[in-house]
Amino acid sequence: MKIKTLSTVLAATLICTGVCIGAVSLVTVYKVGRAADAWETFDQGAATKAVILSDLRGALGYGGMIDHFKNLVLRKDRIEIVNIQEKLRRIAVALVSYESLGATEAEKRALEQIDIIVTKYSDSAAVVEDLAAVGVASSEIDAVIKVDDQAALKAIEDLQSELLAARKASGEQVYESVSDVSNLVTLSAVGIASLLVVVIVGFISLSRMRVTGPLAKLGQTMKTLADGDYGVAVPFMENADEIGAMARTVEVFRNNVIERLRAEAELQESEQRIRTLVNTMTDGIITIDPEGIICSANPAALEQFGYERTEMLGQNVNALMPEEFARNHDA
Amino acid sequence: MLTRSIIAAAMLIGMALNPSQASARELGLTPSHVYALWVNINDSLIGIAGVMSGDASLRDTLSSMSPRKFDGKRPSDVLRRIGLMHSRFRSLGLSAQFSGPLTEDQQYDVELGLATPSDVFIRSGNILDGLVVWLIENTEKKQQISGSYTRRKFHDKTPSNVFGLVDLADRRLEMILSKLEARREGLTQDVPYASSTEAP
Repeated sequence: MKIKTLSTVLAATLICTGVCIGAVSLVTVYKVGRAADAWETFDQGAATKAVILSDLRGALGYGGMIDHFKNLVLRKDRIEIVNIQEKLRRIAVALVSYESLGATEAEKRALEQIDIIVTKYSDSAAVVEDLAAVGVASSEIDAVIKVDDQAALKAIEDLQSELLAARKASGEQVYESVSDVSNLVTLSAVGIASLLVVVIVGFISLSRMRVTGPLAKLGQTMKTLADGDYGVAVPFMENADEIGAMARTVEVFRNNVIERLRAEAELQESEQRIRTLVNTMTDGIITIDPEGIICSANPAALEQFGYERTEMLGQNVNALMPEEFARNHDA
Repeated sequence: MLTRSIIAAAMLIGMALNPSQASARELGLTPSHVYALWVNINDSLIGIAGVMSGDASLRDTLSSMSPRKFDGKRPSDVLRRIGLMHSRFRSLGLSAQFSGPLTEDQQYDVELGLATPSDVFIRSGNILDGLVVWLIENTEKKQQISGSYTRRKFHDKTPSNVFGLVDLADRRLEMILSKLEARREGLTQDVPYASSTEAP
């Protein structure tokens, strides 16, 4: 595989990792949103209902509307009617608020039951006021006015039971959502970390095996060649990648140098052979340049003309001829 | 997440376009609940007028008055209007416990248009209690007060309908106070029909 292909694969892997991280982030955000929804449903549903139910108990029971009603019967103090009505309004707000949060059929029945009882109390307050106004004794009023509040108390217990069930269900839903997010984040973190480790280790290993290692070895070979040792073998020439191409190029250079050195040696040998032949032959040989200046002369020529080598080289060849021949030679 | 964002944006736009209906669902209380209270408040004012003046004509005059029509009112407008009536309630003799000026939180809600039917309901209930306490303190036991707490059921009332009843109560209150002032000064002539504090 070529290094270019390898880098493309690496880049693609990194892009895939990035896409995975992005996808996991999106899914995490979505799951967190669902968990937030579940919590919001719990907070606006069961949690708020619990507060309303507590307020309903307070307005209805001890220190609430029923207490004030009993005080009205006992003391016949009309201000208790105001207190009763104030509590009744709180009860009305609680009932309406509770139902507005979404009530089950059982809850609706319980709320309706409470409403029936408090309406009875409200109506009975008017009767108590009328009886008290004409001087009827408290004991007699109490005998006439009998509101059974057991149904209302049972209704509150029913609401409590429904609420506990709803809170349990909401709690489980919230727990499941949060647990879901937690699992997803953990798995994603492990998965992405593993992927990154594989990518990093793979990148380092492959780069050492396929790039930096071969380049260092090839560099060492090139240095050996530069030092004049052309006998060294060039490695990685069989590789199909860029390193193989570089090795084959170095091998071409190495072969060229070897060929040039061989040619130079052959030339040197040929020159030596000709030089020996010229120096040992009995015929004089003089070489001149185009202007007639003597460039070389063999020992036989020096001997024939009676010159030393230093005297002859650099002179015009005319100097070796009789004047009439020399004139014709120049012409 | 995107769907939730779209739904949330749609709800916000819906609330911005129709704030009175959106806030009317808060806690499940509606302007109809508040309307029932103000019917009782108006009836109590007529009862108070009869007790105070002993004058049947004033009672008849108040009974003949009817609410004016208003449009586009919101719970905040109603609460602001009720808050402006506190000095008249105090003149009548109601304690601040039942009808003081708006609290800082209520004024904040009113200014930002955040008041809900629940806020108006609670304050209106206090005013009704105050009027009934006045009746208790100023009448014999033969004057039945339970009638001021008659349980009434209305449907589809709007903040503007409630505003009309608040306006009617304010005009009745102004007329009662004028009559009371005239009696204190020993005047006997009829009090002219009270001017309203706000035109419809």
